[in-house]
Amino acid sequence: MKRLAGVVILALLVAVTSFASELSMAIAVTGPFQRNFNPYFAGATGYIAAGFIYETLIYSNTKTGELIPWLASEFEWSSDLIEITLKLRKNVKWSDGTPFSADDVVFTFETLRKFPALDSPGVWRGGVIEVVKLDDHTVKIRLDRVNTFIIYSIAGVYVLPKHLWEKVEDPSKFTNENPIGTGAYQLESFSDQVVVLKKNPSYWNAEKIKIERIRIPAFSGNESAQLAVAKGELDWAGINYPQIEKLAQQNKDIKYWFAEGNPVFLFFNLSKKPFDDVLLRKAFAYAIDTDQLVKIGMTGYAAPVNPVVIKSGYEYLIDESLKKEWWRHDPKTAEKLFSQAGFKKGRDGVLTKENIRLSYDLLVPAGWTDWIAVCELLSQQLRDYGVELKVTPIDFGQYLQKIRNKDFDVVLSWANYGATVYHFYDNFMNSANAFVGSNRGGWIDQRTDELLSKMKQTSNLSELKSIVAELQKIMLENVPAVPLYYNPVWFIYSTKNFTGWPSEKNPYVEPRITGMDKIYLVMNLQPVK
Amino acid sequence: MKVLKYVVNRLFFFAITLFFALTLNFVIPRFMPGDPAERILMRFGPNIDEQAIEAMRIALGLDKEKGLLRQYFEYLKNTFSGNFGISYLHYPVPVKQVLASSLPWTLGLVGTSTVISFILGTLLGVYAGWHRDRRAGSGILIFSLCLRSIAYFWLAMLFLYVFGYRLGWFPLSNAYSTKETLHGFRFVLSVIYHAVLPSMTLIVASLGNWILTMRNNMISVLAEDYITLAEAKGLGEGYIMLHYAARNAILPSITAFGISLGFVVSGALLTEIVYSYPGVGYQLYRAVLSQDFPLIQAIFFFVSLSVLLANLIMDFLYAFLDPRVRG
Amino acid sequence: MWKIGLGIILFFVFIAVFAPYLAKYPPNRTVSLPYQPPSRQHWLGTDRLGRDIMSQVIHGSRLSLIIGVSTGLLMTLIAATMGMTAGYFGGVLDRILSTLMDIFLVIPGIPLMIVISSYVRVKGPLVVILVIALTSWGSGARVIRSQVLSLKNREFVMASKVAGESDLHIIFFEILPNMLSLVASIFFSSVLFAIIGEASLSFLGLSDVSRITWGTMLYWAQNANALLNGMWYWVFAPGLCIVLLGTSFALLSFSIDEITNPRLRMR
Repeated sequence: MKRLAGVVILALLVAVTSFASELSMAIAVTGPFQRNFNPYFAGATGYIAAGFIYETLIYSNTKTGELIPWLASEFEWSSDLIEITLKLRKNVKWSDGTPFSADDVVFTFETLRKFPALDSPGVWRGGVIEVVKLDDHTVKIRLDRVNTFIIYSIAGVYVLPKHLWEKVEDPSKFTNENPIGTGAYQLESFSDQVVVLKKNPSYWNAEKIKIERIRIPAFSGNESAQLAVAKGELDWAGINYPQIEKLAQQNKDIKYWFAEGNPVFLFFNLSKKPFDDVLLRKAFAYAIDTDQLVKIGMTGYAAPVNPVVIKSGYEYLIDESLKKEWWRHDPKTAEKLFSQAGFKKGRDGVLTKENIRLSYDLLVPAGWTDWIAVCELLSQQLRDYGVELKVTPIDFGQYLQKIRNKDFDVVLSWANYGATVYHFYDNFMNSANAFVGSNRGGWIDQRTDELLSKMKQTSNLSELKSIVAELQKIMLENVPAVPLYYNPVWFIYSTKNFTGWPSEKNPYVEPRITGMDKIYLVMNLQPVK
Repeated sequence: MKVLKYVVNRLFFFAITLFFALTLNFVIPRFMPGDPAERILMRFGPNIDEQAIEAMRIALGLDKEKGLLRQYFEYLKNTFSGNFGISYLHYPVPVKQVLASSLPWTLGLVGTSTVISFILGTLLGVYAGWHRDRRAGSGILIFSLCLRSIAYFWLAMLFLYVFGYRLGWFPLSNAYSTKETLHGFRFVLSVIYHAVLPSMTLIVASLGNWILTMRNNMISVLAEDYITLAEAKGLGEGYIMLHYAARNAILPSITAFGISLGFVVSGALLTEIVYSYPGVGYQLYRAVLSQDFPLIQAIFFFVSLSVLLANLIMDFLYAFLDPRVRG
Repeated sequence: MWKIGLGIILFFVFIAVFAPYLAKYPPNRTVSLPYQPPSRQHWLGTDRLGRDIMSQVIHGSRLSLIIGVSTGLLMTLIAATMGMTAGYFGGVLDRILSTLMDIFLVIPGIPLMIVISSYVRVKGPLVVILVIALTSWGSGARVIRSQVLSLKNREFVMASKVAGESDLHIIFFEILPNMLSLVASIFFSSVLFAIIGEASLSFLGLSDVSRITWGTMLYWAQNANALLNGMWYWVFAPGLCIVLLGTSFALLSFSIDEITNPRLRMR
């Protein structure tokens, strides 16, 4: 009898603890799930696959700038920086029991080469020319040119099981309904309303995983996800929540941290008059009150940005001697600059110079309500100087197309920050990205390009520092675009069931739900007893 | 002979309308600038390069320049063989699969609500028509006129706020509980519980039309001689109301009901959006927002098809019931 | 009953005409902090951008009315042209037009409107008017056609025909005056349909949401999570205006039906 009672109590305990270690999170608000666990396709279930089920060789932590060995226990550059040798972990198994080996890695890279639609990390475009297996647990990657950035692209490659995917005819159309990965979690159940993951018992890093189950309900809109947050049904929600501070006051468990995401700019079309004039661009920079944009437009959830767009954590790269050239909101200087550029207010109150009238459509993607709000404010602010900006929300596809075709004057847009500051400068200022990439205004400058290619050929910090200082100078002198704020990474969490969340005070990871960041975060969580 | 002619006539109309809807569905997207391949890859960020776009174009069959006529015939062939292509939004999930997962929810929710609303509205209409001079009758009338002027989505928002959020009686979203995994009977209960608020919205919002239709039918019928005759015979008021008046007045309502069943697929679009109900309407909305043309085309095809079929069936039923057509 | 309807309409017309004088603030200008609760300065609080919601409700009446009425006019115009042509001339023309009417009658309106607006890139009020009117004229045309069919064989029409009047003359001066009430009733119910249609399209973000109508106000309210944050009045006020205005047009349309159809008239 006693023994039976003991068993019952034990069973209850197990039941209770396993229940307590169930994490529920909102991964996307894109409606009912479709059964697609191909980690190379963005979208709710694709995100679940990327990180939880499939893993990369190396994890690039964009918050700290660290490269953390993952499926590869170590990696090494050759002295001429043209080859990388990766040592793979030996105790890794696919969740169907097959051992993980170098063949899988080679197969994955080959698949990306054959199906460029899958190569979203851009390894082959970034200069990889060959991936060879040296032995069962060693792989060598060869490049056609020196490019130290390639390691970050490699960190975006989710390794696929060769024994299963080699039978797939076209992986770029494969929905991978029953995913088998190396990751910490496996699919327990799928329905269009909720996906449940359970811990992979044979995971190579199993002792770090303290959460038995992850429950991911589907949300059809922000409102329903917000309701679930308000009712305390979610432990982790990567969603926007207007007036979250009100909720956090009512419910002490609910906390939030909106980290710096990609920077948002007012881009000018530099290939057109009058925005080829640096004085005019500078006048805009002084005219705009970014504080108001952050406080009202983004309701205080965005982080301010400095004129050289260097995120917190990288302050050591800021060139102090250039700080006197940083612009700030200053109406007097702005007015002076407008008149120096030759603009005078016409009879209708709009600034004009010869046949140029400063009246333009300000493009913004339709439905991006925060951004539209920011545009409305920009338009209000600049009207006082005599600049007329008509807020024009347009369809997203058309928006990118217009930028690509240089068919715009001013546009509110973002630049991908990437893994490090160096990536940001390359994205934002490289002429190769002009109009088609994050260099949306089309900054084309030979000196800039030289500096950027030098940056990719060195790993020496002081050399990098001087290159970055010179790039800052170019930015301050030429104002290729006006940085406005960092778009927030939406992150709401509850301390009711788990502790160990990243926060402003402990920013060990950028809490993104799209890739490997989320599994790194989950490894840091502890169930509350 | 007359029947045959009628049937052929209706079938002809069905074919023409279906053809028109299909053509509309084909033509409108062709006016759109932009490249679907770019659109799919757009979601992976704007840094995607030319060769990836080219790969996607090949995958989508856009690489070969085909004549418009040939594209059109291929489109017709694909539609009738049920091949709607791959959804852009859920790439690479086939459109068929997206539809299969959302159609049952809509059919269940909207179908049930339509039936309930029809029964309730018709009964109220009978009452309002019979007692049109009494205060209750005109009360129902004004009430139904107001109901007709309410936008579905606004009513849905108010219900959600009052019964879901403020009072907490009903769940706020989804078609069943996502907090725990349920099976069997408990799952069914959960589905019903989640359907209460959305179906209440649908019922209330469409009630007005049923009341008005039935009321007006009733009033027309009440002027007929046989009602006066029945009254003269001294039959009971309730008996006349139901057995004489309502019975004769209900035919147009039933026709309208049959046709409205065809609208079930599309009918709850806004309600589904507000309640995050995983049905076809919601999928159409998502598809529209992300310009998922294959999905839009497929949903629109089904919506049109169901309405047309409902019309066709009602036409045939009508032929069967109405002696003038039967001849 | 029609008096109540007309009263409400006149009330809203008054508000729309004198909006700049009645509203305390310009509706598009940031005048306070965002999300302020109702106060003496801001009767309905402020929105996401710190704009006065009460002023928006007042100014919103303008575009909501304009879109509703002009869509109703256009819809009635199309319906009347199609219906009268088909009914009066008969024959092959009638066959073709009737089929067209039936097609527009059966193709589901709201989804078609949504699909078309999603394809159209420019999303101004004019587009909304065109989309709603062009997709929803079918039922009106049907009713008018059958009315013309019954009028066409009346003696006075026959008489004019014998007298050698032109077809246009007969249509406009003999037939149309005899069905004005029907056309008016169709117009009023079209306006009701258009008001709800505009609100629905705007709510889905398929119109130009930077213009202020009651529909776009609901779009912004939904976007700012108004209900969850207890700002129910932000959702309630524009929605109530839509219901009131819609009901008033429904009342007018219904009253005309009652008057012209003696059977429906209250005894």
